[in-house]
Amino acid sequence: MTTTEPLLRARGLVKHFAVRTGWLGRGQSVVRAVDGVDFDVQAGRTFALVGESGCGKSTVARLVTRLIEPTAGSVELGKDNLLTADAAHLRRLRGRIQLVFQDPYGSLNPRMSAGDMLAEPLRLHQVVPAAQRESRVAELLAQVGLRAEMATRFPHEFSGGQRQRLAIARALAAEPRIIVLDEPVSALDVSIQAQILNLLADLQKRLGLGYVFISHDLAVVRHIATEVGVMYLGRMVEVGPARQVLGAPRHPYSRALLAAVPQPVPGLDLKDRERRQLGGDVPSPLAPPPGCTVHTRCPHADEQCRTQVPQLQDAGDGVRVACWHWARLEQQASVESVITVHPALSRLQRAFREGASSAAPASLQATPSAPNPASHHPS
Amino acid sequence: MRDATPAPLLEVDGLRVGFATHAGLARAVDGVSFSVSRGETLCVVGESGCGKSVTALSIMGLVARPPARIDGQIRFEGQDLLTLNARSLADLRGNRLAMIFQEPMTSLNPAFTVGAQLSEVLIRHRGLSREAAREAVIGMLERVRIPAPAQRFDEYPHRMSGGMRQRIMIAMSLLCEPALLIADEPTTALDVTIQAQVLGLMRQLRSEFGTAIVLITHDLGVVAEMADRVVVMYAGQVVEQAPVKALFAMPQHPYTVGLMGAIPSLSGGEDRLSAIEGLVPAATDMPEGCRFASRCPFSEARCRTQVPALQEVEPGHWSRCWRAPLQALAAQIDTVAAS
Repeated sequence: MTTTEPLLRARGLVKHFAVRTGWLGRGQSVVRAVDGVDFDVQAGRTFALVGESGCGKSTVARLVTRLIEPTAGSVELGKDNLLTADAAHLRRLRGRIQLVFQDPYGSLNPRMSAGDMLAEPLRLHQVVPAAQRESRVAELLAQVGLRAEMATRFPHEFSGGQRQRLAIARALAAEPRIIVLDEPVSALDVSIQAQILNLLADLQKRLGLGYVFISHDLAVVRHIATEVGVMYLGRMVEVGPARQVLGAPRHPYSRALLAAVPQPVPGLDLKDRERRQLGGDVPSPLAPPPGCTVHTRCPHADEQCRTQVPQLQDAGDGVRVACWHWARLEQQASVESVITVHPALSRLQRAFREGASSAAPASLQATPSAPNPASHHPS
Repeated sequence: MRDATPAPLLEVDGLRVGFATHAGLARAVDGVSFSVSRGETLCVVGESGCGKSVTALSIMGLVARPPARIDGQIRFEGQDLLTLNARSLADLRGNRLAMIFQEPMTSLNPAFTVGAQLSEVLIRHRGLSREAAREAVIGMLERVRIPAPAQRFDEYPHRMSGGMRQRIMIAMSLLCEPALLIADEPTTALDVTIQAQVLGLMRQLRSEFGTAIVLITHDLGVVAEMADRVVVMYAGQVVEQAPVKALFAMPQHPYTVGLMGAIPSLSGGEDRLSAIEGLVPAATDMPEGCRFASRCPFSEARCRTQVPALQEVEPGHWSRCWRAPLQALAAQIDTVAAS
């Protein structure tokens, strides 16, 4: 982690949902969707939350943008506390943290044109004088690789990838320092997904944005994240630099998660993978297991794991792990050794990359009103 | 593999499926041919709208005619499925020919117990009594590793997780030991650890029953893990076909090259992904010439005017590209870059 002041600091985030259970909903119990999560987001860096359905990662996205009120915890944006801010202050702070959702079909108002959609945050947050709104809308469209004349179009006239570009442009309109991206590429085809990931990387480099990136796709996260937190049943089980957490995972759950990802390499020995595989399903968050929540599926679990809850502890290289036994587990071979690419194939793929970047709109190079990221650049 | 068995189990020959739309005839599938041998796993890869699911549904006889117009032949165990009447098709489906879908949440009927739905297959196709069917179903649930199968038999689908429902769908599809199983994105809706369980199960059952599988997916990792041979589809056509190792070693169609470069790797690496710019052409408005030409960094004049044929570039490796074999193209790029 860098020593610069983080853009966002989340501490002790907790969200419990009350649910009705039993016959005619007469019983009541609590789902601990998020149960004590801490993390920082630095300028120009990407903190990714990974985990399976129901682990609480999307709830975290809604908590740090205060779309839902947390049960406990704090979210600081620089010197401001987002969770105690009154309505007027909250509205100002929301200009600094924006959200992009998974479903580009459901997250855009079908009755608003692209231009109106982008002008609205400009007006609300008084980003530019009224006279300049139109030209700023054109700039925003260009920034995400859409043409200026598309401002008159409505959402149904865009493809899925274009809609996601539009959602990103709308998030950028308020000139935020942080964008929370909740599964932003999961609904897209791979070729379109690659376009959006490249766009996000370009924007981050140019504007010095901090990203909170929520995803279940570990390869995508490995590509875009600088820091990663692995969540399971509302808690972080491992957190640290992406290269460490995804390259040399320490927690048995992180290892199993990585081992489960099918590799695009035919003829791999799948025996080894099946050995590391997790059995069973994620337990119900209504009745999380006592002790370490992973113990019902973990091959290394013993009596201590079944009774005592492990806390995140320092595990070297900037990684923190919540596991009683991580230090005793054998080192896991990293996936890096497996993949070799035919030289002719990598030359051809380079042509796709270069063709793609030369085809990018020239306007990508210049964004006059972008904040200067130089002072916040990661070391 | 094709030489070993003279008559393939399934032969799709010149399949065309068109739907009338306001914008004209949309050819979702446009001249697709491939074959599957007994016990073989064929993966069909492609992005949304490439026609892979419509191909699968056509094989199962699940595309209603009209409105769809279907031409070509689908030969399965010697019969043309497209000319069979509804009754004979119903005799085959769930029996010799089975299918599992992407949505395990919606492919089971919520109003019947799991056991009743599974038993029905054996009662209909094998004429078993309710008691005998119950026994067989519980045995099959055990084989797909459903815990406490006798108890689960009498429960309703909403009591089960997504992974469990997909295992139940697999159990249902295998009850009659089909010769061919069509799996349309069977793990896409599942979490990665559950996906690993389901894929492992499919591999195990394939070796136990010798079932041939047509696996439709967009995930190249799943392809590498499961396939013997691969068919790559783009805009309603087969653009490449090859044994899995040959395909991953050196793809022979630029679309496949782009697709492979577009997936981020778990080992990190490249800063930028090789995105395929642009969009798939609309099914109602296909371009002249090669359908991938407008997105292809290697396209030249003839690509935009003349339709390339699917040609055998290497033994067993077919590509629909004017510029194949691509090794030669890669060498050309280098000399251009050097000059």
